[in-house]
Amino acid sequence: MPNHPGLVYDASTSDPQNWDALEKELDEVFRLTQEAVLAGLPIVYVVSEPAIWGHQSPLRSALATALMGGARSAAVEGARNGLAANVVATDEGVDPVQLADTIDFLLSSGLSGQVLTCGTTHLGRPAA
Amino acid sequence: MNGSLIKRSVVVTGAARGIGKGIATRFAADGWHVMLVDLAPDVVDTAAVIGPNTTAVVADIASDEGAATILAAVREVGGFRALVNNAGITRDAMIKKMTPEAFTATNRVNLGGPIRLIDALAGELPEGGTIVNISSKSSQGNVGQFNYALSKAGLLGYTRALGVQLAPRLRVNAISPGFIATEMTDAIPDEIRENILSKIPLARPGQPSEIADVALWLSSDASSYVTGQVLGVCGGRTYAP
Repeated sequence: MPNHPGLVYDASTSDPQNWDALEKELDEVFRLTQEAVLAGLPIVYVVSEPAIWGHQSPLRSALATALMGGARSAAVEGARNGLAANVVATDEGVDPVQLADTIDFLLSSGLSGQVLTCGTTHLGRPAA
Repeated sequence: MNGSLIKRSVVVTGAARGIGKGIATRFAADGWHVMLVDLAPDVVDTAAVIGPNTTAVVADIASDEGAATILAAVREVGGFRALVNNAGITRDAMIKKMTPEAFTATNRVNLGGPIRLIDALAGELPEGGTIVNISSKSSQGNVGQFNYALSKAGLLGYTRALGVQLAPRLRVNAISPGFIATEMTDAIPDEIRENILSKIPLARPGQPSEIADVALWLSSDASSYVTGQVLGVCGGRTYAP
């Protein structure tokens, strides 16, 4: 569990099956983000790293990259008053403690507009 | 079905004006039959100006009824070969002041529209058919555009994964336009406009025809080995300081 206050929205295992489900989830992301911004709290979205690269379903990939665009916009707006918004990209092989430490770091570091990758999907597939 | 028409027929959404009109005009000039889709009834006038080889469809891409209307129109002309998802809206506001309605409406058109339309139409595309999604450089984040940036960024992941899912039957790509001269950007105050232009290495706004050229290329056999990609058409702005 992160030690610092803020919004942590974990979409890494979310797998919307249709547009209505994706829309409902994004509406919730907006509601929680607005609450965090109004409260002056930092934001971390956790997304699936394979989804960013298009390795999962189109709707799951849309969710992951949508949150990246949202985080960057929140970061640009928050830069004026020191409010940070970031993304952590993870995959199923990531140690939960390492993931929590990364989230906690982003909630307190002052970094903003970043996508920190905990997984290894971006390294490509190992040779057979 | 008219086989020759299928080979050269394209559906362009948001085609009444701006980039969509530019795309429709470019395809028509290249000899395609163009189905112009828009919520605005004056899409009929736009189609008439472009020429006789057009069909105007007044439909809301954000509704099941709209998708059904477009599907029926496609079947009436005998099929199609390419889909260009261009329609988009803005409802700008800082996050603190953005209404839930502004968030949902933007997301429903810009991201939900293409998803709904592809669900309805992809099965109608023939082998070798293409889909082009128009995203935006704002997908990288922008002040007052949490809703717009999120929706346009969502299109990027959707395009990548769909490119894999629909291969090898169809190709799916996206274009990420930068600052393009349209009625919408013409309304930007001069001071802000000059500031934007000063950050563009090519030192001018893009023209709708320059997005259209890329959309046409992505819909042609000249790009036959390209799928799941995002092309930035922004005058070099993406990597400029």
